[in-house]
Amino acid sequence: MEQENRLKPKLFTMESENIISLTDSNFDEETYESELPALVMFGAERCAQCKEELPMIEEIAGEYKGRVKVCWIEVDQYPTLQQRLRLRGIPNLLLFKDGAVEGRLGGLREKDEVVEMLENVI
Amino acid sequence: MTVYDLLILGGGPAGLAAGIYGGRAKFKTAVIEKGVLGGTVYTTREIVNYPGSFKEVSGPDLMKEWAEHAKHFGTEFIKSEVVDVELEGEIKIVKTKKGDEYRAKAIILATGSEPRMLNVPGERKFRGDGVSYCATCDADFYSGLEIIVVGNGDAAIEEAMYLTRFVSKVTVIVIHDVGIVDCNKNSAERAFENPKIEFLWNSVVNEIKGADGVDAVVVKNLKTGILTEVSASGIFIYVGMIPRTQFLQEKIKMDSRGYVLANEKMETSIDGVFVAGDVRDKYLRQVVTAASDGATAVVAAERYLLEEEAFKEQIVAAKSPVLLAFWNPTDAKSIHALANLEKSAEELSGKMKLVKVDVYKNQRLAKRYAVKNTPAVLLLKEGKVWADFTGFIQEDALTEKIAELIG
Repeated sequence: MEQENRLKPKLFTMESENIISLTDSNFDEETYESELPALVMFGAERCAQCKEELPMIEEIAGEYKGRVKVCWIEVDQYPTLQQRLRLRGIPNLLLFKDGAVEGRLGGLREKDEVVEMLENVI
Repeated sequence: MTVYDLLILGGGPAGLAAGIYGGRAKFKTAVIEKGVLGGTVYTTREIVNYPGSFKEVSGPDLMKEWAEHAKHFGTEFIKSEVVDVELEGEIKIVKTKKGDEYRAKAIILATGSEPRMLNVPGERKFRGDGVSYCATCDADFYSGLEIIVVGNGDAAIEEAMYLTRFVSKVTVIVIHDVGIVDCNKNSAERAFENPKIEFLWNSVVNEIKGADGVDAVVVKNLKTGILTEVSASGIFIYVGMIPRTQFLQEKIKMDSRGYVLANEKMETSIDGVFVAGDVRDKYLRQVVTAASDGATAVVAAERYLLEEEAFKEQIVAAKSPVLLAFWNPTDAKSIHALANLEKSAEELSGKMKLVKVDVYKNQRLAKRYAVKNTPAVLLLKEGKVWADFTGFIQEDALTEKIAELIG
């Protein structure tokens, strides 16, 4: 067991209390039906760029606390969501506001770009 | 403010190997890395040619071991992005995006390289939305769809084959004539036999088109000039790498492509600045050569630090005037001159200090004092040259000068 843990580093050891983990059962409620705008990061264990982007998302979650809800979802576990949201790659950031997807940023992005999208939409 | 002995910019295999050697040599060492430790290797699924790794170790697993190894020897890790450096001078300064500054006596540049972009219309717009540089990350999103791979090196062809496990068809865009690919022969043969792979020869990508995501790629045939629209849901780009040296522009010698130039000891054009790994102008870019560069750079840096230390202690901070004698063990004339100087120094013991410099071992010091021939003798007062004798040394004249200097 210990050997297995050592060889398979867990990428998403997400400790930030400001980030909500999504599943397919709470997805709609936390995003489309959310009162606050919701920024969702789609990622996966196998994706190095996701791990690179994650600390920046954690920062954003702290800085926008109370104004934007920040969530993340492990795409591999919910393939139907991938299709529904027409995902073509990870990491991918989707911004939900008033029941619609109002912004998308695919690939590894700089913080400035994410902030710009947030400021434009909210 | 903390001054590191060794600051390593970049946490890929070159930087981590340097971290291991630096920590082991008991240097105050830190590795600065903005992203995940492991560099380009982190995005490699399988490493099969690193000695001992024939049992298919993954890139991330291998790099995690290296990082632990470096930590074990006391090397620190700083998570930050380097945006500027001041390399001239004894203490080097490294500035990060967050606005922090780090200082070090020696620097190892190990920033590696990153995928080159095609720079065609649509590439930026559809990034992460049909344009990908990572098959491991994104292959699954294209299950049953048709995609395009651009490039024909090892990465392009191997990723194209990996993608065939998911997609219905891969069209590989190759710039060369029919049958010519840059990748290794083994992969090429397997790709040619793969029924899901089709090759478009003499071709380049002109544009990436789509509405919400990628729908098609405009391909230009270089021989006929004809443009064809190939429908595809995604495009994976593997057209080589570019060195991460933007922050080093005008600060260090590079080749025309931006790779840092260095000698066999990984010494760059700046004293105390070394280079290791993919960012260096070199023949083979592999984990094993990156590690080798890292080790060499640290040993060369160690020598540099020792020489600098000795220089300061023996010459700059010397209490009495210094007789700095440059000699060459293969030159009889300079051996003879040195023997005479040793005799004089004995007589002047306490009033004058003799420092011998073997120019073979310490070329930097010879360069610092612009000494081109041996023997050469410099008389130094409070660290500054007061008189110099080069080539044939007239003992009388020298004795006279020494007498004048020490009063």
